[in-house]
Amino acid sequence: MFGRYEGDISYTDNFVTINLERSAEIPRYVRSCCGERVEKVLSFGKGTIIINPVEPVNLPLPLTRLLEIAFPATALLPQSEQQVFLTFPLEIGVFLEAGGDLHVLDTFSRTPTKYSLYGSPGAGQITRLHQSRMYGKIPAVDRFSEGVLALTLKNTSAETIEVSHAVFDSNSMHIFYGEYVAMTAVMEVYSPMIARTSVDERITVSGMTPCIELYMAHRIPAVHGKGHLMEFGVASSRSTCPSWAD
Amino acid sequence: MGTASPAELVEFAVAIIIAYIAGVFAAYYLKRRFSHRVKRDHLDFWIGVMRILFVLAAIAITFPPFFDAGLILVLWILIGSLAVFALSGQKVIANAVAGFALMYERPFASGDFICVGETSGTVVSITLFATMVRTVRGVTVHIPNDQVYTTASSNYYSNVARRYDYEINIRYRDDSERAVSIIKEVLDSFTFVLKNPVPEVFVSDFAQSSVTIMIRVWFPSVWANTKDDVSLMTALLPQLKAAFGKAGIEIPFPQRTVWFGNELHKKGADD
Repeated sequence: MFGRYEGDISYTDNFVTINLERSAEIPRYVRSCCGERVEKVLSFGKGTIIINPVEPVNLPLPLTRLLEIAFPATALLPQSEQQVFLTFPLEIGVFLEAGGDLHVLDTFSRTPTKYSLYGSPGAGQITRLHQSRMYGKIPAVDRFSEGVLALTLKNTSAETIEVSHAVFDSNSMHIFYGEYVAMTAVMEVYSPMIARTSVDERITVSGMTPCIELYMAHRIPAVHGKGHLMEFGVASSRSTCPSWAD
Repeated sequence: MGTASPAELVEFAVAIIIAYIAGVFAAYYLKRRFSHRVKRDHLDFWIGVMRILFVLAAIAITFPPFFDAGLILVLWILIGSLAVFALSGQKVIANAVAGFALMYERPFASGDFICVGETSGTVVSITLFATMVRTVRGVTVHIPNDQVYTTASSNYYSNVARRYDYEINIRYRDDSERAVSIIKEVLDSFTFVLKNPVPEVFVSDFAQSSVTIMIRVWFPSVWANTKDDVSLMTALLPQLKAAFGKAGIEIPFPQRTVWFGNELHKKGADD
């Protein structure tokens, strides 16, 4: 499903159907997924269609730009570093590229959305929540539902800190696709209350294709490399994540 | 009367123009620098204040050369302004003072959903004298700032999440633990019910005709943006009713059992 399409598109699996017949009298882009159907007419049927994963915070409504991944609590020793593999939800974007312009044609997802509150109601932030298992190696995932996040946890403090969730800003997300969809990120933990997360622009696995993100298509000037500062703690006070780990 | 020369008048005019242009450039810079951090109406207000200060500074610098000529004029302008304020009544001044207070204290900003007295809606703008609110019915209401400031008001956007409390009644014969479990499942599958804070569902009362179950859930304020909670009711309550219906749990109607002191006997029962 992911890739660039200069010609017709005819894709069907158990969940998604995408069709585009450019030579038709009125070329139409038609997509069905999870009971939802989208149909759009493309003028003259020209342009390149690009389908790739986008930052997963847009559906069903763009209420937040933060993605929170909850995972089993992990105790990080002082001045230690550990890489773990988590999963993140996928949203798929369909772009029409023509005449130097990039237009967002459609976004859809097979993953149900759930929101959460990071911090207090007065000063906190609404996040799109994803609960993930924790893996020691790249897990096998459904390529069109979940991606793999290689997260390096760094404890820069002088105390052991328990970490159970990470919050990422979608404005600095860099997603890649190949055999699976991937992101590489770092979480620097400064104290039990404060940490910084950032998504790497490079992917550690070769042969992967960088995705076009929605903020790029919308020409939103994003501050790259700064990541997101988590100011309301790195461990959930209440258990919102599964207690099991692989 | 005056001693200002044509050159001094030109200097005065040039200073005003320079102050105006400097104000435009400063406003452009501030908008670029702070537009994503400060709310639009607050930024516009402070940019306006800054531009007025620029012009006043220009006047202050170039005013002394033709002090004699301008003094009487300035005094007349001041007296005239005071007269206008006095004649237009105390309410206008009260509204202006309240406007300044609202802009300084910032209990709400444009785009927020507020409730002031009987009026609730989205704030369109806050000016010196009045606050414009667009109600959910699409009517724009003009509320004098004096009234806004002295009336208890609620801002539904000041916190990112809001809690809703609901009571659902079930029959005494229904299994309340199962009902609680069903409600939790529905809440968990509903996108906009926040996972954290965790929803609270518990039996809160044994009423005359029913067992009362209390539901406390948190939603993103931006989504549940109306005072009458239409988004919530139309989305969540039908799902709860359907889930109860599927499980055979019914919402009861009021009923009363009457016992007679001298019980009636069925004919033949005592035979």
